[in-house]
Parts: sequence; structure tokens; C-alpha cells
Amino acid sequence: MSSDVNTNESLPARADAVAPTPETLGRQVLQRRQKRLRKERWTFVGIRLLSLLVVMIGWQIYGSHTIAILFAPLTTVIHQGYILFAHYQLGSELLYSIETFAYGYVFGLLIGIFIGMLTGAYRAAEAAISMYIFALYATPMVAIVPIISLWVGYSFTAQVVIVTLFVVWPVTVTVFHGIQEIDSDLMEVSRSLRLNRRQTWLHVLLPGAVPFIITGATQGVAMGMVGVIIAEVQTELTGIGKALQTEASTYHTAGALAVILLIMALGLTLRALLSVVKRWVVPWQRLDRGSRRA
Amino acid sequence: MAEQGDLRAAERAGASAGDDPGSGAIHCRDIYKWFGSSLIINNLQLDIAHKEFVCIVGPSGCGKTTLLRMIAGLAEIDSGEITIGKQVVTKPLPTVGVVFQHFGLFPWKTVIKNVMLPLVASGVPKAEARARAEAAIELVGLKGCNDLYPAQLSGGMKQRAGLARALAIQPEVILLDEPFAAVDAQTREVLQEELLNLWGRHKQTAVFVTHSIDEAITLADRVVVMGVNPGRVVKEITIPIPRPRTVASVRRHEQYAPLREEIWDLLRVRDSRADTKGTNANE
Ligand SMILES: Nc1ncnc2c1ncn2[C@@H]1O[C@H](COP(=O)(O)OP(=O)(O)OP(=O)(O)O)[C@@H](O)[C@H]1O
Ligand SMILES: [Mg+2]
Repeated sequence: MSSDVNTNESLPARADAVAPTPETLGRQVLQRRQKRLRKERWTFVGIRLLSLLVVMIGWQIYGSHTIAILFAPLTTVIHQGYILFAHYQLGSELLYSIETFAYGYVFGLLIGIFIGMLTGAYRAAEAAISMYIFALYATPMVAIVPIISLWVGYSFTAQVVIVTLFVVWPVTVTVFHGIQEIDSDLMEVSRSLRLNRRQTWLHVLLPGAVPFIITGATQGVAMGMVGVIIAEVQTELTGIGKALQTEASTYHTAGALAVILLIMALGLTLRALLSVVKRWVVPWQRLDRGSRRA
Repeated sequence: MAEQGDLRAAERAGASAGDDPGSGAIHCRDIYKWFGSSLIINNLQLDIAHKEFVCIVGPSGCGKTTLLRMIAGLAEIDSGEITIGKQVVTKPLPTVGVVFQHFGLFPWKTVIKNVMLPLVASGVPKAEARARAEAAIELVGLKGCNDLYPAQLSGGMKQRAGLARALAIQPEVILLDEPFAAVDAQTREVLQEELLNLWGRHKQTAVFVTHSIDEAITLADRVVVMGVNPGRVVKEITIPIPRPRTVASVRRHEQYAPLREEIWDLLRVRDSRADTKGTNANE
């Protein structure tokens, strides 16, 4: 305790602190970062392509040495995919599923953001409804599908409701935690700057929540995809779910694999889109501390 | 508007005549503060004159930050009263600027937006807010950094930005909680030098918490030494070193060494009594 007093003076000076003007310092920092990031990015693209190549070759070799009912080489799968598109309307099935997904995802996202923010920011709202949120979050939504069918039927609407239910809880929970984790120091700063409630939302809570909204939205993509397939298989057989079911139940393994690849590709595309959106709406994080790990 | 300006002028004139205490004078009367069941601040009295620069030193945990937060209207005062000018502090006042040790910059706002925020929030038109923010940024030596995000700034630059934001509202009182503790020793001296300079040109009441005795003597008109367990004012020491000062001129001053020793001794003496724990203080 006693020796704590007055230790600051003896701190050794950092080597890089030989006072360049603030402006040049700022610019240098920026330039160095950009250069390093560019190099890093290409290294990682290379690693990614290499990994993809290895997996594809492995698939091809393994697929060529097993029974066709169990697995198929990559080339066969791609060929089957082409046939499904060309002769069995996989394209329109896909569009149908995308539409279901889009509605359910957007509803789920909006509702999730709203509930998450409300409960995250206001203690009363949290006390009133957080228990239901966490209960539903912990419930596998598959369990609810039959009941939804009972209530809403087997229509497109039912499918959208199911997707919404898959998306809404992970988004809600992520946004809820995000809002709560907004630095309490920054909340004190906003009080000190005399921001009113509206200004606090506009300048602090909303921008602070954006990264968490994006994270929630990304989780929502995965959950939404699961939701679409389950909805299509468990209610009225439609879209990609129908294609998948048809191929698998008739032992067209290559066809089923082709549909699965399509679903994966869809998921990846949406994720990639979201990371573009993230760069665009969270510009301040792009500049934050370079790479995360070695 | 003109009327208000006249009032201000009259107030200033009054202050110099010694009659009006001044809109930046701070009075802490019979302050008590508990956290849970432990008494953190015990019957603290502190008067700070209009446009006086006061540094507060004291051992870790003696309640310096707590006191500053109470003056800033950010922490509740359990008993007693703090006034700034004629206003009783119950919430953050518009005439008070705060500089935080953790900088308190919003990571999603550029420097200029950070500095403009309190102005825009208080209803200053955008264009005027921008002009005033730019002036404040230039004042603290951050010109050209308007559009950088806090993540792009060094520690010293962040604290300059924090200072600019506090100054932009042209406060009567500025409260600083170890503002230079997170920057390295050299930058710290540069910032001290600049603060001396700045304060020489635009005086306002300043309360500056620091762990560094040197920093306190360099900057302050008066050093308030606080004691721990529970927190209270042990002694107030007037620093007779004339202004304008520089870091170097203060170190060379004949009073510097004796003052330093005196404050050191105060801190040491009080530490040896620190184990008397103020537990029986709550009735
Ligand atoms: N929010 C809080 N809840 C409970 N106890 C607190 C809280 N804030 C501060 N304290 C206690 O109050 C005492 C004074 O804290 P304070 O931060 O004011 O000390 P300080 O003088 O600023 O110390 P330092 O020099 O280390 O910054 C400490 O014992 C601390 O544990
Ligand atoms: Mg402190």
C-alpha cells in the first residue's frame, strides 16, 4: 500500500515516444497498418485456396473408391447438380427456399434486435421478459415445429414463422448481451456529457450495439438455414428441402450431396455478404488492433 | 443573449472585486460517502476558488476518484453538499468539463465527432459546434487528426482529444482524474507543459487528481493531500512558484525540493496510520 504512492515518475520511457508531431504519428500508424494488413490478407487467401484444393482432391479420390449409394466423387456430384438444375427445376426450388429464408430472416432479425435492445437497456424490460427469452433460446426450435404447424398450418406462412423462430432467439440474446456489455465507463461519459435518453441511444447504445447486431445476424444466417430445411421437410415438402428429401429417399446420393453443397454455398455467400456489410457499418473496428492471433 | 453576456461580464468583474465567489468556485461541505457499509469519505471539507488550479494527491483508494465523480455529479453524495458557483451539484452541470483517465472517447466516432458531441447534445447548431470543436482540437495540438478514430491515436493523442472535448464546452470548471497516468513519462511532461501553457491563456477552475507529486507541484496553485481510511483532507499546501511556469522552471525553483519533501512526508506519515480502519465511523 505505502509504496504505491508516486511510482509513476520512475517509469522508463518507451523507445518510440520521441515526440513526433501528433499528425505524422497518426499517419505513420495508419500506413504501417494498411501495409501489413494487405500482406496478411493475401497470405490467408493462399492458405484458404490450398486447403480447398486438398479437400476437393481427397473427396474425389475417396468418392471414386466407395459404393455409389454411400458417397460419390466430386465430379459426379457436380454433374448431378447440373442435371438437377437443367431438368428438375432445382433453380426454382432454390428461389422458393431463398424467399422463405429472406422473409423469416428479416422478421427474426428485426424482432431480435428490438427485443434484445429493449431488454439490454432497460432493467424493467429485462426483469419482465428475459426469462422467456432464455427459455426459448435453450429450447431446440425443432420441438416447436409441430405446434406451429398445428396453429398456422403447412403453408408458406408457417414456413416463414418457423424460420423466424429459428433466427430470433440467437439474435435477441447476442444483442441483449451486447447492449449490456457496452462499457459502463462510456455510459458514465454520456451522463457527464449530459446526453438525454434519445441522444444516448443515438450516439452510444445504437452504435455500440452494431457489432453485436452483426454477430447476431451472422449466427442468424446459420440458424435460419437450419430453419428453412426443417420447415420444408416437416411442413409442406417444398424448395431445397423437397429436392434433398427426394434425392436422398431415392438413393440418389450424388444428387443429395449436390443439394447439400448448394445449401453450404448459400450459407457461405450470406456470411460473406454480412462481413462486407460489417466493414461498411463498423468502420472503426476495421482500424482496431491488427490481427487477432499469430 | 446580450443580457446574458452582460451578466457574465458583471460576474467576472464581481469576482475580481472579491465580492462574488465566482461561477467556478467549488465548495465541498461535510461530505460523507459510503460504498456498501464502508465509509470511503469522512467529513471532507474543501473550498476551491474561482479559477484556481488545485491538485489532489493521496494514496491509492483514498477516494480521489470518488470525490471527483461527486463534484462532476456522477456519484451520489450520501451526506453533505457540493456547490459549484451558485448551483448545488445533484447531476452533471453544463459548466463542468471532465477528462477521464480512461480517455472516455467513443470508439465509433472520429476525433471531431467526439469533441462535437457535448456541443451538439446541448443544442449548439452543427456548424458552430464544428467550428468550436475545431478550435478546441487545434488548441490541444491535434490539428489534422479530425477524421481519425480513437483506435488510430496514441495514448497521448487520445488524452489530448479527451481534453479538447472537455474544453470545447468552454467550462467554468474542469475536472481531471489522473489524465496523464496512462501515457509514458516523456509524453506526460510534454502534456504537462502544454497544459501549463493552455491554462495560462484560458484560465478556469481546475481540479486535477494525480499520483505524481512532481506533477502536482508543477501544475497547481494549491496541492490538497488526502488521507486514507477513511478519505479526508490531511493538508492543503499553497505552491508559491510564480506563473508563467514551465516544467523546467518549476524544477529549478528553490521551493521545489522542500515542497516535494513536505508532501512526501505527509503521504508517508498517513500511511503508517492507515491500519486504524475507519469502521466505527458509521454510528
Ligand atoms: N463503485 C464502487 N463500489 C464499491 N466500492 C467502491 C466503488 N468505487 C470505489 N470504491 C471504493 O472506494 C474507495 C475509493 O476509491 P477511489 O476510486 O475513489 O480511490 P482513488 O483515490 O481514486 O484511488 P486510485 O488512486 O487508485 O485511483 C476504494 O476503497 C474503492 O474500493
Ligand atoms: Mg482513482
